[in-house]
Amino acid sequence: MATCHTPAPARAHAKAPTTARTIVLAGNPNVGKSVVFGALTGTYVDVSNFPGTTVEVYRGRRGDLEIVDTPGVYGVGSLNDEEAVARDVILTADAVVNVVDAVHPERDLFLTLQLVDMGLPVIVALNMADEARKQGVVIDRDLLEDLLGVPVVETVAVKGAGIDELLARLPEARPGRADPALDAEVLPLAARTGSRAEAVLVLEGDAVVAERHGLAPRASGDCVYAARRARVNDIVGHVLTTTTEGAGLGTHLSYLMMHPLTGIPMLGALLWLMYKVLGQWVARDLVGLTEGTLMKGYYEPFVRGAVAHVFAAGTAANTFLVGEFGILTMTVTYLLGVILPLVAGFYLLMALLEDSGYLPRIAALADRALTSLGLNGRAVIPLILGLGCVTMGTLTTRILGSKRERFIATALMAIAIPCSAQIAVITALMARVGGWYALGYFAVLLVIFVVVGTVLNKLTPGVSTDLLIDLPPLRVPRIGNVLRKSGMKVWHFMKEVSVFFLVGAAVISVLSITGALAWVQTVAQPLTVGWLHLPKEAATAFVMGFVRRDFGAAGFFTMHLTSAQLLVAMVTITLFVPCIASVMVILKERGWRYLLGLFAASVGGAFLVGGLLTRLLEVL
Amino acid sequence: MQQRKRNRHHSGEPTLDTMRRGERCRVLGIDDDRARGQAIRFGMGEGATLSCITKLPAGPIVLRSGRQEIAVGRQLARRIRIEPMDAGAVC
Repeated sequence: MATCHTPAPARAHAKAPTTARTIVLAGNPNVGKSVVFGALTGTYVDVSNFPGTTVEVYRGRRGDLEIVDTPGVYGVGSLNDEEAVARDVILTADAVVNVVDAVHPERDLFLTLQLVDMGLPVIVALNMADEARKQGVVIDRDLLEDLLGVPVVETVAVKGAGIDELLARLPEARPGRADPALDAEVLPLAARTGSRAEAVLVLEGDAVVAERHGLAPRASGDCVYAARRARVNDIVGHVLTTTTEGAGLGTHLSYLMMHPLTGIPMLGALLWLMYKVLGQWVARDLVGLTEGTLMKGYYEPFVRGAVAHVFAAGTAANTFLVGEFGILTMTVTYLLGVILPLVAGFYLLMALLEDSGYLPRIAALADRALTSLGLNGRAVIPLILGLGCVTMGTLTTRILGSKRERFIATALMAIAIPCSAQIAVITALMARVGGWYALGYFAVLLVIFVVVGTVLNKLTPGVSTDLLIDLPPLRVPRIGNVLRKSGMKVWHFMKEVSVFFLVGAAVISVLSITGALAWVQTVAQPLTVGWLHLPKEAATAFVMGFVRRDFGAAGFFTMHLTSAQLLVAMVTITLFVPCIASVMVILKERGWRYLLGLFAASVGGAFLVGGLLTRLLEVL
Repeated sequence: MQQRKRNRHHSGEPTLDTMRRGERCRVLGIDDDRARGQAIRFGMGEGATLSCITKLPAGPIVLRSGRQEIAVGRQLARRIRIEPMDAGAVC
């Protein structure tokens, strides 16, 4: 009975209106999938977190087609969050547009054949066809079409070439020539799961899909994969001819980027450039304009005036709305005047780095050093983002392979990495005291970073994953794509963080109105004056540092401190708890136990190191 | 082309971390479940031919598989069993 039943591909998790056809884009990372998506959808795009994950899914429309972009993956399954999200979105597809990098068919066709084996209606966009020809790679499109059994269209998405043909042939998307050897096991399974697609996944050992249908995952994963790999190699052997081995300038530069002798200076130059752009131009000049002139000069007085008509100044409601930590004043000013320009600048730089192919090479370069901190090279991505904004970095720890790595990376960022807003204020302060103290500041932080990482590596249970990454070819980024991508990310980030920040500011306001804040300031004084040898006003700066890291540092601006006091204050405030927005994100991503531990460690560590540094400097 | 240097042998079979720049090998097995799934997707699973582009000092090994470059952490490379091939041999 079971064998006569060949169900259509699943729509188990479909959310789209039934009239619209859902077209899902799938492909490996860095194959130009987002460019194809942009060319297909054009204007309206909606970014959302896939339920239960922090993986972003982009949705757009073209006529009555709903077009969904998925994260770049090398295969569909439960290997990581991206794969799981790609899998669940693909299972809702009426048709899959599989974007294949014409330069790397032997890698990309693995996913293609998986989609074909899953029985999904597929159309292949053979992208970067021009690049492939330039590198001497020629693919027999017609033969590939015959061997796969699905339409294959050549595209050069960055130039918009082939997109019309892709759209015209979209209705031809059809199930291709699946591995007949699978049928014996897949067909009975499909009767249980309701779709061939899910049956194939269960057969490959996807525990999540199996559980959805009350089945045990099969252990045939390795065997199915090996057979598929053999078919890919066979197909590639037939359709591909290469005229030259591509090894030019890119290969040499790639090597220079990864080798410590040349790679470290290059990375140093990059970080310096990032600091110049973000710490100075954006954090100082642009934020001075947006926060100082625009928000504090025009917006805040206006809101204060408007609110004062309803609630008189000095009342609790007035303080709550437009007071020192007011949700209409400080929150809005901070979000639009400070965070927005910083995050926009950061995502722009990150998109440039990402599209150029430099990031994975930094990961390879940093792998050795990070291994001794219980991380692998991939962790440079959240760590670099953390230099921009710890909140942003914490959200990005999801790309790390294990819970253990996410645990360590989050702690490192929250404790030892100053965010760009803070770096800007700190460098401004340090400019007063001269180079040696500024150097001392970074040296102390580096030591703390290594010590915290080494200790956590020893104490944290579990096993970290190893580096295994694909190094995409080095390319000159396309500005259009960079703007588009960073624009979407900024929007998404602002949406996410605004709520957290609003809640945080409201809590601080309540503390302030009830007098709890003043009490905290008094209680903290023995610590600040007695232990750190700072003036008693320092307590205020620490409380402010909890709201906003750069606020804390800025709190020392008006105090008359000696050079040594300034260094102690800066180190302590950096190690001190992360800002309220990061605290909320850490709470969401890691849970309250983790947050409490982090609080204890960072407050304890900050004052311990600060006090020791005070004594050390006094001896010197 | 004659064989240049013998790879060190680790528990019978040589491992990926013993490769030198310019050498080629065939992957025999990957003793790491997660990495095995990932590797086969990249096209560097069991049976694949790899050539070593470079080894970063105590760091990852950079390999070429087809026309793509892959960086493998040193620890993981110790768990990938290989069979060395002559540098000039055609697969």
